Amino acid sequence: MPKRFLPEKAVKIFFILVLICILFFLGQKFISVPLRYTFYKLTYPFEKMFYVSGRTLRSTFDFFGSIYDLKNENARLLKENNLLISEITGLKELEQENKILREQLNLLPLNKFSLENCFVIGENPQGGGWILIDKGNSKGIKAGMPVIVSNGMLVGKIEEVYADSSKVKLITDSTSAINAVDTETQAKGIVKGEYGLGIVMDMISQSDSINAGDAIITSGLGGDIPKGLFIGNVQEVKNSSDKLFQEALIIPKAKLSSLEIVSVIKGER
Amino acid sequence: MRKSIIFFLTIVFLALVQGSFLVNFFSDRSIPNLILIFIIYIVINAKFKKTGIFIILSAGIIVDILYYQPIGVNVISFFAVASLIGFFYKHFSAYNAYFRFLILAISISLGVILYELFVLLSLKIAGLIYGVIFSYSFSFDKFLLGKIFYSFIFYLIFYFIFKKSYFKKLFE
Repeated sequence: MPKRFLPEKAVKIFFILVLICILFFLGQKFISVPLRYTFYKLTYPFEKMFYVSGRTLRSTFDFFGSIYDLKNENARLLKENNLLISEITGLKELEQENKILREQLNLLPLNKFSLENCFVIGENPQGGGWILIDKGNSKGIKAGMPVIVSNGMLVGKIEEVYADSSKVKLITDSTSAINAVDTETQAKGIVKGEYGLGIVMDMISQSDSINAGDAIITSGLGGDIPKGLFIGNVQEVKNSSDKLFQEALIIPKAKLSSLEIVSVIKGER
Repeated sequence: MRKSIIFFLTIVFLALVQGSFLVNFFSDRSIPNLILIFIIYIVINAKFKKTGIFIILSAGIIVDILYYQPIGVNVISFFAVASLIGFFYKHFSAYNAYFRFLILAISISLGVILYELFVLLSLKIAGLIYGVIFSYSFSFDKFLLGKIFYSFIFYLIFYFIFKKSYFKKLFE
């Protein structure tokens, strides 16, 4: 039997390496997009089923876990209820005040926009950064659209759209960058994510004033995200590493780790 | 062929469970990587080789698709981890049950850590190739310890499921 030029094992390893290189170099453009589209189209119902059943199971566990505290909680709630009844009378006045404040702070009047409510059906299993929602281009969702929670708090924007699902890049993702402004001092900057852990407002000019507790909203610069979406409050202000700008640590108001229902702003009504 | 289809569907199932079901129960960075555990299980227990290559290749592509990472990142990481764990387990496995258990625990811990490192490295390389930054966080902290612990628990679950006579045949 003639001796082989290369041992069989080496041929196999070479074949695998070549395949990996092809996948790596051509993957993003020619393979990834159609594969991902088809895969999500096929797995969408299962993904939704798994996520919803997981949520239900989790809330059932949480419910049983909280039974012990229910008696105390009930007594506390009765007390609180009496207090709330007296507060309700003042609410109408507050509603009017809220409307005026919203106008003064340039916060977005949400009724002017066409919103698409979506369920979260998946998250990044490798830690923060993105979520998956149950609506896609069949409902008119497009890449770049801002995503909020019901009361106008920005959580991210649409990154990739499929037939019945979309990927939302959260504001905590390290590649996310959103133009923002301080409602108190009008200081402008860019809100960036910090590896899924938190957010910072960067590129704030040294001449601008920014203080702990200030509310940060979207500035509308860049065009894709409308002005006036609430992002969070300033926790701490410091100089950037190159000392050219100021940097503010922002505490997002929306609880990004437990999102269930979000709304996509599709455009003006 | 039948075996390959069953393993392929198992991987898709595990990826969906991990991405859509387990995310409800674990904190972000400590979600156990079921596919990695499945691959480690195969490396340690299965007697086949060609099907193993197919499993790792398809698992890598599915994870890349499902977790929005450039195609190839998880293929490379799974191949690297499988080779290193296979080498480690082959050279250090022992007849003593306690020692074998210890080696298994080390293999799983090593597998989880190496996988994270390889993904991080591959994403850096992919970032250089495509000219973009792919975000991925990794650090030696309590989340990583949690991930290793849960991975070990899931490995044991896999062990008890796949040791049943029906599944046992698949790994021969």
